[in-house]
Amino acid sequence: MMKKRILALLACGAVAAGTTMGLTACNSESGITVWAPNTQQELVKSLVADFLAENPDFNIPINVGICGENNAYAQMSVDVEASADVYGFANDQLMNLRNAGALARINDTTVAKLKAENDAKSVDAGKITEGGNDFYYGYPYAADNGFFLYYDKSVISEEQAKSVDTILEACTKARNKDFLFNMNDQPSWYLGSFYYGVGGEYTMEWDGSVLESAGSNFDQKPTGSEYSYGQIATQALIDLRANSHFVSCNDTIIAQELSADSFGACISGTWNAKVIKEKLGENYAVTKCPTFSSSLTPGEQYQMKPFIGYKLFGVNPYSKHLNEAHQLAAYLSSEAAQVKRFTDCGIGPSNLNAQQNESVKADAALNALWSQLEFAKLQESLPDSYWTAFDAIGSDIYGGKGETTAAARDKLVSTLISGLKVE
Amino acid sequence: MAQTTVSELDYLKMTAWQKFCYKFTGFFKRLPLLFLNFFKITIPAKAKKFWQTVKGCGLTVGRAAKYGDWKTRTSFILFGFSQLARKQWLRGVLLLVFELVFILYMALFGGQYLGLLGSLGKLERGEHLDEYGNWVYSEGDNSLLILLYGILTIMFIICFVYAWYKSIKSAYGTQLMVEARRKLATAKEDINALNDEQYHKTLLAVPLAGLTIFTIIPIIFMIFLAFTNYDQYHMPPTKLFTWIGWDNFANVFGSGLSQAENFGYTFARLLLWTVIWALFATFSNYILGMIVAIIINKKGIRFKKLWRTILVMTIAVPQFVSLLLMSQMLGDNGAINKLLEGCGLIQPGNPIPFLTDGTLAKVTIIVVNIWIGIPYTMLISTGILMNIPEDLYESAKIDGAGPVKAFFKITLPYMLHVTAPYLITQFIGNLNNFNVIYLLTGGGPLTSEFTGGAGKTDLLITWLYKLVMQKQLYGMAAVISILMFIVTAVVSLIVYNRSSAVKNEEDFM
Repeated sequence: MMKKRILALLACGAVAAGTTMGLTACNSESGITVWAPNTQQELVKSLVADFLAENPDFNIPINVGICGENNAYAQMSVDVEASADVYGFANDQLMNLRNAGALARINDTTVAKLKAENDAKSVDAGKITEGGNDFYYGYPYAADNGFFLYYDKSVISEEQAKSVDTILEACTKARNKDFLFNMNDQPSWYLGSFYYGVGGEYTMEWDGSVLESAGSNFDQKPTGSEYSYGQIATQALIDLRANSHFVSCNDTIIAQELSADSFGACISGTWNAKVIKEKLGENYAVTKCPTFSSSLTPGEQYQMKPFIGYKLFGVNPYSKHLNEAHQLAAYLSSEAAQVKRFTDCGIGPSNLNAQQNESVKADAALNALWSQLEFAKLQESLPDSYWTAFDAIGSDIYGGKGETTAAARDKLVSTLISGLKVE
Repeated sequence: MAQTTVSELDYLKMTAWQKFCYKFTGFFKRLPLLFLNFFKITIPAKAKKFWQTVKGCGLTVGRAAKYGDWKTRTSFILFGFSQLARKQWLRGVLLLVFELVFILYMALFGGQYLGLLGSLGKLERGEHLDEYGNWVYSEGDNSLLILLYGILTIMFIICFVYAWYKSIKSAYGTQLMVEARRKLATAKEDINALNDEQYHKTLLAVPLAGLTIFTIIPIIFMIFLAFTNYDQYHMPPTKLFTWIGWDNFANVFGSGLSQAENFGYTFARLLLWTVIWALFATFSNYILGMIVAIIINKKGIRFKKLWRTILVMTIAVPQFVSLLLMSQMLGDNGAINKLLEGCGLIQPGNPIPFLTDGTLAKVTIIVVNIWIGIPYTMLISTGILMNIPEDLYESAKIDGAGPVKAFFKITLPYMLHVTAPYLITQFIGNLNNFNVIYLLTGGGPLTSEFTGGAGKTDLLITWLYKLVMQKQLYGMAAVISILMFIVTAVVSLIVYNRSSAVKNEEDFM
């Protein structure tokens, strides 16, 4: 009997021990941790070294860890208290990061300085309006989060690169060349460009960082048309899928197509500039996203309207050294840092002075990207339902192999519309 | 029992197929009865037994209160007093220390969490300007920790009540021993007993503690999560989450939601595919593996060891490596499609959608799984096949049975009898086979029919992963995992209890 008690005691003791261990585990880390993408590790490390050299009384150790900007929310939300103090994020994760409590507000003096030095849109990309007041949460450092057209000059002429139709014609003529566009590997980021291109709109109402409502007008018809925006754009994608020179791509497939010599043209972002340029050499060319057509509205050409997004540094409000973390984030997004970031990694700056830098102005990919600013859509924070709905319709269209019937297409459109709706 | 509607004679007249159908439908006809019996007989019986135990404990405490002397009665408040007063130092001190630890824990730590358990926290994390115009943050309640420590505290209280009961029982027992002038166990004897007749408890203490901390507490915690609105908008430590009763369950079973949030439909479709997948994956591997083993085992086959070694080689390659390779090879732009294109078997730009067409992807997954799974069954079957007495086959042969008949009458029953538990574990394992699906298709192709990021080949377990890791719908995920647990538990209990290995334990021995 005694032993039973000892057993009970042991179990309880273990529970108690586990409890206290859990409590003490939180307070082990010291110093400031910066998270940056794998490709920018060297850069951030050297920037940190510069920062420490410029601020000799800054006596907190700084560590650099790996986390892609597109992955910031997934990483930060796991355990925000133990995550990085300063980290880069793509601006579409703003609301999610804020909801996870992973973004600290920036004080008014700093905001004024950021606004003076940076492209206005890039600062606004870190803004949340709450109760009529604007609050800022990010230090912008990159204005190149978008996609545009890469093409092989020897296959496609500058004139042909203006439209998806002529690109496909040129590819067909060259026999073994393909047009690459992501349609089935989580393509939500790209697919919207077709729907916005035909005139569709997606609107959201935010209350602070909480989404009140959202929805699209994809069920409405442009004047004088018997088909809705959703139908026209979906049909355009189905037509594209039906073409045997279209290949749905991700970064791996782009590399495969390049090495197989079947790369004709591709819609992708700046991160692929280096690989494509290396392979195509003299034939490397970039331009704005092309126009496209839909078999529902013959003769009509629509301009693809891509997303343009920004990348910002956020500061973790759970940081043990909040002020110092803000100081470091400001340094990492300063003009000098942005110029260095461009020279070392080819990342397009948001800083106005840095944008005027000679080598930045000479960069073809960035020029192609920025030439789209007049019609591109600012990529705001989008709810999860947006990504899910577009990922799903892309996958469904791709699975239909271009043989999707009108009835099936209309069902896809109505599912997309109801999927996008948030009430 | 099965032959209630058909007489024995009629049953014997049936063909093998009719018999099978009869048994099959009979099983499902009896299912409601089984459930009914469970609720009508098993549960009341267990409840009665439990109540009697509690009553027995109450009586013990009552006797101690009525007939106990002052030392025993003081033990009601001061643990171990009776033992200490009767010079059983070790027991007394341990009990007293436990009581002190409990009081300290409740006063300093557990009490506040227990108090907040009802609301899961009231104070949200604050955000305000300091005198320099910088934003600073104040601590708020953490719903997650409140829930966790609340549950731990409740468990601790249960331990305490149990210890209290034990202490009183032992105090009274000690009193009776002294009154009967029998010798009390000394501290040394108590410790020695742990090494002797109570040795099993010493041995089990560590595993039990591990089981409690790493399995039981997380499961209880997860069950409680299913009743909260823990999601991306209610993420501790910044935001609070709270109890929402059965709302999450209503989401799964309800119909009032729009299709985009139709968890019920997605759940039902994925459950169906999960069961189909588990059946196919289990039995295809089992039967084909057995056939391969029989072929290799056959007399006259040469190089038996070579064939076995070749097949076992696939085990030597880590499963995830072969799966990732397969998923690369079978992609629309993968090696296999390129190869077929090169041979002119398919049109360029028109690849076979091995992994991107819902139905074909399901077939592909099952086939790839066969390739991965056969060697295991083959290894197990080989051992068992060699164990079947050869004379059984010889007498069958003399009686005129062909190889097919011998297989169905001797080999298969024998195999099924021995490997039924293995089959069941395989089946349950396949219901939760995360690796194959996740590495091969990632649940894709996605479809707008489903919600929560589910794709056409998602099993419930991979969907659960998506709900947690991508959608942050922790509350919903907890509900799905509870439902999954119910499905797997029911299936395995029913099948296991009805398997011949359990029912006729003595056969074939």
